[in-house]
Amino acid sequence: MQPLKKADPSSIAGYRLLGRLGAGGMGVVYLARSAGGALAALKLIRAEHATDPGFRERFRREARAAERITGRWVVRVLGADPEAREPWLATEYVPGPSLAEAVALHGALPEPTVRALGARLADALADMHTAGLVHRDVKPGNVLLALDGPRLIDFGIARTAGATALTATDAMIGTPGFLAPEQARVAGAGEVGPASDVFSLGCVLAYALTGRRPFGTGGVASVVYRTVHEEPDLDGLPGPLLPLVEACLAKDAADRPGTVEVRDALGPHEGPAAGDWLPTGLPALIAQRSSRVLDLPVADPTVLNPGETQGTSRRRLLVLGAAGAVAGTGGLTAWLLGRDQGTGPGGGTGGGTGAPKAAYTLGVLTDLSGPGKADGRAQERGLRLAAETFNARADRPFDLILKVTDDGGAPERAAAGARTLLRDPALVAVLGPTTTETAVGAANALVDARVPVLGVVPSVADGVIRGQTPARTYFEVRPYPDVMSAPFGRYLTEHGLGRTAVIEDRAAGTYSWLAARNLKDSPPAGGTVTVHRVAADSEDFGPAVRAALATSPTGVMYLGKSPRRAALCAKALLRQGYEGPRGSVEPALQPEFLTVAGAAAEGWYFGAGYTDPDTVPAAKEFAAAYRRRWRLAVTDPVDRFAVESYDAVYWTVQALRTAVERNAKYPGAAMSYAFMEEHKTYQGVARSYHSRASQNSTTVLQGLTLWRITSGKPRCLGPYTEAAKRD
Amino acid sequence: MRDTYGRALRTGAVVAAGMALLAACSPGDGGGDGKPPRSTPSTSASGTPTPSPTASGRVVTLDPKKAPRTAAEAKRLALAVVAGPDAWGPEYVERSPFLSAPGSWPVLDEQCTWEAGSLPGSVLYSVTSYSEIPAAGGKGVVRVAATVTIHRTGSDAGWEMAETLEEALRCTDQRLSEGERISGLTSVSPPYDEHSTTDDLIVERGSYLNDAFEKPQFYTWFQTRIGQVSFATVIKGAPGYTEANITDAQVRANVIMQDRVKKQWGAQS
Repeated sequence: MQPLKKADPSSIAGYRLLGRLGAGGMGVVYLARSAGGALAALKLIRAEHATDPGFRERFRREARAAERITGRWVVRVLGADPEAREPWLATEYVPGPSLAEAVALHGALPEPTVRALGARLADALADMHTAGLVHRDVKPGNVLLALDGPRLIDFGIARTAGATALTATDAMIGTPGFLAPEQARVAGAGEVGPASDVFSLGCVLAYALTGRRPFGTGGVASVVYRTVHEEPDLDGLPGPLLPLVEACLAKDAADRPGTVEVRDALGPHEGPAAGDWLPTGLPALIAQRSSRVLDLPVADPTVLNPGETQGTSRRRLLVLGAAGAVAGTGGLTAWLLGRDQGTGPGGGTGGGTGAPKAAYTLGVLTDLSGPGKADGRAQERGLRLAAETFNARADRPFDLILKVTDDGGAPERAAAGARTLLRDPALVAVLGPTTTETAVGAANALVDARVPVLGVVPSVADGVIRGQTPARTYFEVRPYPDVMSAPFGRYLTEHGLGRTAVIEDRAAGTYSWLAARNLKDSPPAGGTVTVHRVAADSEDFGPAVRAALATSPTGVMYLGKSPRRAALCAKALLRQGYEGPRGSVEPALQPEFLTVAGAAAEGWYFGAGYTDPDTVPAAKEFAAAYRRRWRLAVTDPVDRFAVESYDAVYWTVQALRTAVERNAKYPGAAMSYAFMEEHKTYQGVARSYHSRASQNSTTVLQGLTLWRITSGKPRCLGPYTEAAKRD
Repeated sequence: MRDTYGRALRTGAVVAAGMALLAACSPGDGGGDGKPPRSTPSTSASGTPTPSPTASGRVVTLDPKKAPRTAAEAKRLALAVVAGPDAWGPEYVERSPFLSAPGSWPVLDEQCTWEAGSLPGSVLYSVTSYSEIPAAGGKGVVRVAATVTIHRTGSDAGWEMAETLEEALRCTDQRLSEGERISGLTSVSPPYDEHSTTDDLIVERGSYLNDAFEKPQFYTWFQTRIGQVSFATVIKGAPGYTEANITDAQVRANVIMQDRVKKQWGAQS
């Protein structure tokens, strides 16, 4: 919160103004105290906007509608004067983030949280519908999360049910992606009724449960088309809630349940939600918001989390108050300002007097929608789990805030995302790129500020990133790709198999050429290596395989990057009757290899730079927590790169402790230094890491694992040195 | 730029050394289960049974006992080491002639023109091999060369490095042959630290002017030294190529030559 400015009034209509929550083009939002002592958010519209008749009309409508809405789970309007020269509107003050912000920061919410949330939203809508109103814009940005439950906001377009006063300017009202097919069709207001709000509620529930919009993202037209014509994407939605959400999303309004029905299906809705209704991390976020707004020391006990002892809460509030790494505008302020959620400016860094604890931002730039979205999501999940478990520790020296940006696998979006992150002075590191290009894009944008980038998936050749002299800011939490032939090579060595035939796929250019070269220089088991090339434009692996088998090999290795072409190689080997050891490298180990190769995939070995935490004793706890957090069955594999991402967060924490101890004004730069010096090595739950692993002949092989296809599934045999000894 | 080369050099050497360790048994293998060791470490590098935790890329120095004493011995070694197409990359082929004539030793004269000279007494043997990426797909022909020079002593090789550095300072514009010049030559020698995998390193960059090309291309000379052996790789750019996408090969070819020498002549440090 900022102090009042000289030009600000000290009070408006009996509300004493305490400070500025935010300011936008149309006016200012103040924190105020009502005559009765309650905290309020007061929006004051600049006179020039008040002259716009459309604007004033909407303002009037909002105030009128609000008078009729009195439920517990709405943000109540305390007072308004739409006719004043500078119109104003005062609401209850709710310091929580919006659901949109919460999901952006936290990811999908657990089922109990969503039940508590949904039951109360349905209750709020039931009240509105009873009063003859339709909200018409139920969406995550219009749901605030308070410690005792959600609050529905924004009645600016609420209408009397059945009203037919559609005008040209508001032909389609609502937010695409969350509005009902009948709203999207613009068929007439008569059709838009309570059932439309139920549809939107269904979208909100799906969004909260999966972290994704059920009708996708993209252009308005395509989202609307999918809303009207296609089935929602409800993948990953927990089974028990699936029928209810599906019913809410029925295309035909008549097929949808009523709000009361939805409310009762979700569970209790009366009284405050249980103290722990919000998942780990969010109460701290809300407390942070609250404390920043309330002049310290905190006077209002209602912001304290009832689940905690007074002492802890107070300490946390005091500490977080000085930090403020999260956007300065809460959901409520953003809404009052008419601004998109989650785009507020960053707060200050820690280190203020008497503030032993601060909050720091870890930027996550990853691909959640493009070709690398599986690896992007896995990283996001691992990073979130790490941040959440860290933030739950009583002895943590600071809080971590994750800011997640989807780069879609596009380098320019990664660079833009990095520049946006840089506006946050509390930014200490960036993780998550899924390709070499996005890693370079992000690292190049961050190199001047010396904010370190940790790559878990991609590999970037030395010297590619701008300005790496003399300091290094890009670190790889994965082995160098040029050594991926090592695990299977080691297997051959350990088994005394000295005649290796290499199928060199020219489609992979220098990569496969170099890998073949390295093998020739260091033959498995000290034996011989023959190389058989397949032209880049040929899909016929038959001749190369025939030539390879003519050498009576005791091992055959496909060196290339294409899972499809590796599969063609596997099929050619099977057709020609080869049943001996055969293997390949990480880039080829993709689902496509299994689908294309079919039975020929069985028994193949792969070297990879990630591990399966189920095979690492020290990572068992992580694996269990990961499955709990992301609702995976015990039989589901933990996503690849997730455990390494988890380790990357705790490694970053180590470096950050040092950076903070140095009292660094810009911890990002101090972090890069710490990664190069004191914290160049780290022992995580999956393995040990080295920030300059590729500079050392021992560490360059760190983290390599051997995998084998068994019963049609890749299975990790463990760290390659040990795994290679097994039969 | 110097850092790019320095790091690429280190990484290349380290990957080679790491891969070499693959052929080695893991610690204790063959001891516990009664079986004989399954692998035969064929070289000193790959024979490292237990890599020291502090091992960097520089695990090998030259073994004085294996040093060539005669020109004939040096010739055998140099020809085994010098980088041909198989060390440059998948697109490269031999040029004709592929190897420099025995005894050839170009010198830079007072007018900054390269002339034929005679082999100094301090050099046991020197050979240059010539490769190229043939012109194709609208791109010009990229000419590359690799030189291995075996001196009698490490000090002699050090002086050769110093002369190379001096030449670029003395003649920033040099005439290579008829219709072929370089200009704006700069020369750097990156600082050395514990990660260095060679005893010395020089990088020269400039513009390459060939009458056959409309525009100036890039020119990079990359020279390293281990003990009494120096390794040079040079690339003359061509239309359709950028320096960034081709100097990897230059560093790699250089590292491969170093690795070959280490294998033939190395000693565990």
